[in-house]
Amino acid sequence: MASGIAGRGVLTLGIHYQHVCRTVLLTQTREKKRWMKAYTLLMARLRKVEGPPPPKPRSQQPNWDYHAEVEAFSARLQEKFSVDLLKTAFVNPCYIRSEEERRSMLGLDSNVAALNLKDNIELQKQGLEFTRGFLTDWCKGSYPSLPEEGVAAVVGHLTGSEVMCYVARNLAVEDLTMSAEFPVPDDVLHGTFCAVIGALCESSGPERAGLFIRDFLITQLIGKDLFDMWTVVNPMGLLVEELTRRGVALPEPRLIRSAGASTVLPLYFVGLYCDKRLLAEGPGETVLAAEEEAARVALRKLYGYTENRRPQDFSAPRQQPPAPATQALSSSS
Amino acid sequence: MTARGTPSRFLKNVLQNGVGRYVCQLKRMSLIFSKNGQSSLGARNFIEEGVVDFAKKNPGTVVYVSPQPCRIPKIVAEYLNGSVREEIITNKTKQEISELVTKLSDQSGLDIIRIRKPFHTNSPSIQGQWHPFVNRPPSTDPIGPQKSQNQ
Amino acid sequence: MAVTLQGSLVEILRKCSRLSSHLRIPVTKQIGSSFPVTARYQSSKSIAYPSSYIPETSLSRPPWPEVSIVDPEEEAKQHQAIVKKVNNLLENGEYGRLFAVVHFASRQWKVTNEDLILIENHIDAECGERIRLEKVLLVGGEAFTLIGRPLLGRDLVRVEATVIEKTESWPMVHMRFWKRHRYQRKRIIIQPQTVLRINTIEVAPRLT
Repeated sequence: MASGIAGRGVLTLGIHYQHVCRTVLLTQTREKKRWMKAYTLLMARLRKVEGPPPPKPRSQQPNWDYHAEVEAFSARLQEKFSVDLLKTAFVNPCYIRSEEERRSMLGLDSNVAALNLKDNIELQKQGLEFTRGFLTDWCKGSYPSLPEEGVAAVVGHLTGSEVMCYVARNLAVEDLTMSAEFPVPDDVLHGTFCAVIGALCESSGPERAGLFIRDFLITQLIGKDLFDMWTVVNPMGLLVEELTRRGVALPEPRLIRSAGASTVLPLYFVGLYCDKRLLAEGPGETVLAAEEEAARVALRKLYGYTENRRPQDFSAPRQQPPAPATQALSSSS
Repeated sequence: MTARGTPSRFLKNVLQNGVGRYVCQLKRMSLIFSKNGQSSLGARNFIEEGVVDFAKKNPGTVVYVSPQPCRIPKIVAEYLNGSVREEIITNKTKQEISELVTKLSDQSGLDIIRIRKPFHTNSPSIQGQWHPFVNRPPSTDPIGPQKSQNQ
Repeated sequence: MAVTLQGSLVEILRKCSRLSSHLRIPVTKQIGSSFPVTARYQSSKSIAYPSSYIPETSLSRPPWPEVSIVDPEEEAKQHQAIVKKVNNLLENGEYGRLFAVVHFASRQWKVTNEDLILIENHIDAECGERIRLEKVLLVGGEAFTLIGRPLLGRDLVRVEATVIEKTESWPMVHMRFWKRHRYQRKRIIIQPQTVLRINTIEVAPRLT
């Protein structure tokens, strides 16, 4: 005990001694580090000037095993991809180009270090074609009275860059995509997702690919209105066309109800009559707006795309086997 | 205490999950622990006994086990929608860690904040929305803006 | 107050009886009990009132039109017609979207297909499993509504849901504080939560 105290005393004395005579420069001192505040302030200012660091692709961060990731991707979606095809689907031509450039910059001979990679252009084309065809068939099957333009609009909305990229980002396709730039541009991501669908179509048949599209793309239609996807400038004209094609009498708009006409919030209800039967009615702030709304309501009714239509059947088909356990073993490594 | 000032969101899920098929939202899990640290004893036990079972059960999750000299062992979970959650497992036992891991794999990666309503629907009305004119008999008088009033 | 009311009632009675003494209106029980007294009191004044008389005011009869009692045979016939109609609708699948009111986790939820439900408790089912919600109180389509008394039969309606997410609520702070007494307790509550996705609502055409 006593020796311990004595030891400490000696130690402190020693430090003070060193502090007093400044011959030794690098010493450990146990006092408040006054230089620290200036240093942190400086670093904070530097960070503020530079802004946040550029995002780093996940493949360059620690803990990344590309093969396991690809296997887990297919297991997660409960699909049986052939791994080679899936890996090809993630390789974009822009990545190959940039990689070759990088190698030539490093001075590697192109024969020695050749890239044994196939790009996904073929699969992209195939996937996009299949998706378009499947969606068109599906639309025609489930909404038989929807005209060609409407089907094209719905398919265009679903295969458009916005929806496809949203789905791809939420399925972690972005991490696996090989692209020249990061963050992955929208068109590259769109192409990659098409290629994934193409790879699925090739490896386990169009039926599974159709189910995949149904589960991940068509579900995006839930809660979507028809005229959000299909811009119709003149619904009344379209309604007249539709009715003449069906051989029904032309619609006759009538003002049914109105309220608060002299206030800032007027309300009019316009009803469309066909052969003295009420076809549809719609509200609006002006009579013209109400008439347009009524025409839209009538179109929705005619095309079978009302809000309370029968919901789509998304249940899994009966013969679908559960995900095999052998894949689980290999992907968990 | 009121909760009005706290951040909140509505009930939702990633990509209409569960409508067609169910997709486990945890895509990647890294276990960071120390090889001989006292605080990562439970983590080491879990790695010896529980990790392989977990990985077999969840083929859609990539599990990385990375020993590093660190004092605070942790689990870094990455979700399909891009969010990353770090959970610290200092001084936790094997059971606690395995419970935590199953909880992480059952979650969807959305923020854990106040949820404003316990339901979400895309078709709020099936038999038609109510408005003041519902079930009103049609009036016999002429309605609305007459030409003289309108201009 | 009560006395004056009685007096005024008497006044009104007197006036009205002169106008139409032959009017007979069925009396509700509550009013009828208080009236014989006044009637007896009046009878001494040689104006004949029927014993169960109430003058016609805005409160003397309900504002809705009187419902005529339907013949039971007629009613059964109508019932049969309606049941047949709804059964036909169900058989041909001519209903649009269906909704149901389901009793689950001691709450009643109005659900349709593709809905999300958040339950403030743990559920004994794995994520991704399908469960069937069996306590269905009501099912409705665009043109019909089936109401259970109190529940609809299990072979009639089938509501299925998938467990999507089993998570935890945000940390709710429960603070107890007693001012000027140096008393404060802080408790942070985290509850398990479960998110369900409604998959299908099916109705079998088996109404009777």
